Amino acid sequence: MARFLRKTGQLTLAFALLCIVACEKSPNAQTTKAAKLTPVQLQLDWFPEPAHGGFYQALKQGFYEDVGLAVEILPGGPGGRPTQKVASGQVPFSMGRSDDMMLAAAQGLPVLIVAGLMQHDPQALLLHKDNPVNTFADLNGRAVMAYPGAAWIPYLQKRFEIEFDLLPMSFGLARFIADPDLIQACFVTDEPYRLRQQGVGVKTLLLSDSGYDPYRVIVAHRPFAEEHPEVVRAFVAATMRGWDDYIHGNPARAHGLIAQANDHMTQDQMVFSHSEMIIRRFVAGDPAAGESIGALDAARLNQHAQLLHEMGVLETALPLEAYADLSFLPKSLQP
Amino acid sequence: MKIRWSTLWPALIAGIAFIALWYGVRGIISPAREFMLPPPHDVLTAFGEHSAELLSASLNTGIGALLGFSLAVVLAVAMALTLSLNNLIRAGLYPYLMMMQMMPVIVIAPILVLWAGAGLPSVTIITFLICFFPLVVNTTQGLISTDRRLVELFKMYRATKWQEIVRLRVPAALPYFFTGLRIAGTLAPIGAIVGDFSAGNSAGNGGGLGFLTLIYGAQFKMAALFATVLSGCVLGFVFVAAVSGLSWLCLHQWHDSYEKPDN
Repeated sequence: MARFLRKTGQLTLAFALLCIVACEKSPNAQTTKAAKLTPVQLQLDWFPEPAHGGFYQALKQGFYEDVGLAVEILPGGPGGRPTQKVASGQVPFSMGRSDDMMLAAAQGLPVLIVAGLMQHDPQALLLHKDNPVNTFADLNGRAVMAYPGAAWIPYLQKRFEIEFDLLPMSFGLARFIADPDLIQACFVTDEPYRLRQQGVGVKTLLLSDSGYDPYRVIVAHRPFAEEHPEVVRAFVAATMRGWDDYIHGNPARAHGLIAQANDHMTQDQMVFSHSEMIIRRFVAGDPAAGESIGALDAARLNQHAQLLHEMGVLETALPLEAYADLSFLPKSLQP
Repeated sequence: MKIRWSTLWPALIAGIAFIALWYGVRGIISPAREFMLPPPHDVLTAFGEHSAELLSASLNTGIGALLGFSLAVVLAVAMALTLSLNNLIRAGLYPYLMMMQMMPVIVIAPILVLWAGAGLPSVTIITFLICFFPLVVNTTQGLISTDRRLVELFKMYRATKWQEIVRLRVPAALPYFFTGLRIAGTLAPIGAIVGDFSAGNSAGNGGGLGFLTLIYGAQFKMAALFATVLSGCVLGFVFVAAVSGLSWLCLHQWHDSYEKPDN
């Protein structure tokens, strides 16, 4: 039996290796077929969802092909570690929060912010509707389930002079449903909908309302960006076109692809997320404040680095060049 | 239980070779990937920088590990004694013991948190679940493997069942028990770290090494992550050393695996 298992184990391994080799070959095969498209990969930070809508819209509408790119969108999930993947060069592009990228760059990870993805982060705290906590200051003495190490945690504690305990994130909502006192981090575009579907009354505290307001950003492997600036520029331009079309055009195109890539995503949920992103202006921001799709404001990034330094999260207020390069943005968005 | 130079120097040389290999590998990886493998001296520096955090986290993990481990020892011995009574009991319960061991901890953790609450209770139970099985299996095996001739000798002298268990079967099972204890000892800190990772709680500065793993991971502090791994190893060594010491105390007088003092 043991020997049989070992044999099958070896066979499975051999088969897996074969698949890897086969997969690695396929992009080349595609390149020859689709006449000189440059293959690039984008690592998502979660299972495909409307928060990735612009990328899928650009893919579906052929915006990437228009600029000579064959983009492969790789789904993420718990433990997906998109920043580590892009830092190690396994993929040229990924996404994340601007504050995380500052931390990563400060630790020597070769990551580079090349464009904005969302002007404001949809991360929020999720509470049961009748939870007595209504403001950030009310969190004093409570327990919050979140990703330990996230920089908004010490920010809230210092800014509002409060203390709260941390529970490591468990993926799923069973614990939230079972525990009426639980407070957990969420995406305001996602979990509230799913809970209301289950008949659970919830409310949210949007983290960016606390004054802690990072961007969500598109990130490139730094050496890749240095070697192929034209690819990065093309990717950024086509992606922004995708987001513009996703927000202002017909989102059904992206939603079709997202539903294909993620079995658990329903049409209703996607419609909800899409409208939340528009109502709360996560992607397009406030034009009056000079915000727009893909834009990055050097002053705002510098301020945030300064804030992280003052909080003791960053040893030095990192200069912009250490983690971002705004020259990949279209001319219209450059200072 | 003396530590001899003849067993120390090969380990020292292997350790030095390992560190040399570490530097060697670091020398050949591309600069863009260097962050993935911080050099040993950076890990040492990280130890210094984060020593207070690492110490308090190791202590918290150690407490969870010790509680879960102790619970496993007590219940495993009771279970092994029950199982050793007869074949029917063994046949009836064994599959379910196996099931306990097969339960994936990562999946069970969110359920445990619902039942027992986040923090030390869950960490203890997860450690217990991981340590229990090797202890039961080894101890039971020991209890039912007593030398048949000795059992017959006890019968000849009309020893009671109780005497047979206490005077013969339990002492004879000790080497097996300690084998199980050593396996459980290496598993206990791992169990506590996994428990902390998925069911921990920072309340009252109670976060352990699993919590630190999450924090350093989120902040991309690779050297500190390596230091956390090593702290877990140290904790494991402490457990194994304690078990080995205990085993020596109980067995060195009579068991063949220890050299006789007069040799």
